[in-house]
Amino acid sequence: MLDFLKRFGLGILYVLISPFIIAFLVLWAIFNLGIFFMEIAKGFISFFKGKKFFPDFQEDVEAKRILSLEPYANDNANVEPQPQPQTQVPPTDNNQNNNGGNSSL
Amino acid sequence: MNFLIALSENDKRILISLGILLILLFVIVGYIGLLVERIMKHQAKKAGKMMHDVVAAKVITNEKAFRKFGKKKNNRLFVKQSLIPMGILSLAFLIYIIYGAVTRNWLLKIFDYQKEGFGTILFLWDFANPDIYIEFFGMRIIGKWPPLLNTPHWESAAWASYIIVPCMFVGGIWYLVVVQAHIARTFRLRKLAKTVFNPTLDDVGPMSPLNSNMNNNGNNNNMNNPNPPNLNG
Repeated sequence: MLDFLKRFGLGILYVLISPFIIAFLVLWAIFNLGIFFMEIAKGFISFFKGKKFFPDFQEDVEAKRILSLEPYANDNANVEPQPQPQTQVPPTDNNQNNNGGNSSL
Repeated sequence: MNFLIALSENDKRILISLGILLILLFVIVGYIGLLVERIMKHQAKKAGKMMHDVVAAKVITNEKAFRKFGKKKNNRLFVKQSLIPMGILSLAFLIYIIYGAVTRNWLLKIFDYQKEGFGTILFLWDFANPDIYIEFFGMRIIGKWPPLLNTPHWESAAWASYIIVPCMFVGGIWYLVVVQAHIARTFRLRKLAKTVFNPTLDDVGPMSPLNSNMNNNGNNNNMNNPNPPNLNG
């Protein structure tokens, strides 16, 4: 019920501000059309230069190279074993007496 | 009280149905908002994922470079995600060009319900009919179900509209979802750019991991830690 009321309240809010949200979304969408066509044009240029349509970024290549180096690669692969808690109970005087004095000592 | 007495039985019925309709509408809009919110949160997590390696490898070490590279990566991801919806929209445009070239009719009415539009295969009601409206406290509201204007029927002349309209609808909605994802990632990247490279007092507070490490080991182990700060949180 509380969720229903919350959705109802938010619904009123969304309806009130929806013109602004839609205007913002449409403006962003139109701006992104420019980005889309520009990136596609760049892709074609790259493709006809003999590279991939979406070539990897220099930074990504560099990051992959660094992360594949020894200390980084081993860091994730070799997890140090955690020391296990000691479970063996050391013999005490009481334990020895309960065993009927069959201790080897 | 006089106001309530003045209401006729019919007015009360209209008032109740209007109220229920409004509540339902607001709740549905609220749930659509929840869906949008979830999509945005999911997409915002991708922003952290795509920037993880470059920050972990310390290829990017300052806010400005983070913003610049984040923008590039975000735009690239946007373009990749937009390829299918833009392809669908392009298909619709191509069909329109083919239709225009073949029939010499460049003014195709794609929503027409009589001959050449998508409306021919839809149920349509005559909401423009003035007889269905009533006066209610000075407001003109719909009082009865409007007469049926069109029953679904196949029109050969409308074949182009049958392809163009669904393509436009699906491609358009899909593109807007992709744009929304781009917006979510943009805001997340802006926030990350501010927080990842700008240490705050929280990092040296008594409950911070940095401080607890120092307390336990007597030195700062975080300096040797190759793992970057959490970019997904």
